[in-house]
Amino acid sequence: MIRATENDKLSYRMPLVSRTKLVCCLFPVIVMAVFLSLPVIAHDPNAPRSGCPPVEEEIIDLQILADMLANTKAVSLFTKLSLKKDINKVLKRLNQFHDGKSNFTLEQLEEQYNLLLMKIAIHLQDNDLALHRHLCNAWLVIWEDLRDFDRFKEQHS
Amino acid sequence: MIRLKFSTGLFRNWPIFILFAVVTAACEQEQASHDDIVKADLLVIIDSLGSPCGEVLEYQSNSELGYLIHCKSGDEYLISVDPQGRVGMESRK
Repeated sequence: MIRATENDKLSYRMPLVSRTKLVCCLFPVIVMAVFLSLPVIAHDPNAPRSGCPPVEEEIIDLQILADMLANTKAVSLFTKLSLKKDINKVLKRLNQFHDGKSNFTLEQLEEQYNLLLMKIAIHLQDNDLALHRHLCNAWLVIWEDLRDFDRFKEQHS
Repeated sequence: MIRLKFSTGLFRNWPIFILFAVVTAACEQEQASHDDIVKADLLVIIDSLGSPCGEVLEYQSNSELGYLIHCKSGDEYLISVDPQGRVGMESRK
């Protein structure tokens, strides 16, 4: 009786044609996997706030934006008070969120923040272009600070 | 000794003042849902842009910073933010 020795088993090699076929079959799968794992790099030129006019100095804090809003002549006193109250409400909700006492999710708070900035932008876009440019550029920057626990607590405690 | 007369003048209506203060303080406690907050904010935006609405009945968030709004007045609006950060609105009625 002939038994295959251990060396015989190990010496088995896949035929070259099969290996080539295997690589050819897996190649598109690998390329697709790599492509899907990449972040979306394509930049949509029509996306909201993607074409904000440049400013020399960016606002990085909602409180600074509120202060600049208080000094503009483009907004009436009543509207300033109303917007200030809205800013404080959003900050309060975010504070509760970071303290783990909020009924809102971070996505909901982001939507509320976006609506707040939309309300502010309406009053500035035709009357105070300089401040509106600041607002446009600061829109995402401020949110990144607000959503981050450490940065929020550093700025608002 | 100065004695305040709670039965005359301004203090005559003190129970009403206290009730008003309590109600005001209670209203400060936020009970609104996210949906109510979004509807109220969208109504403010429509009002600020000078269009009639009355009340926001429902809304659909159809893109990033884009809303399709159905008003009690029967009007429908599409609110969006353009690449320059300007808030625009078009009537869909």
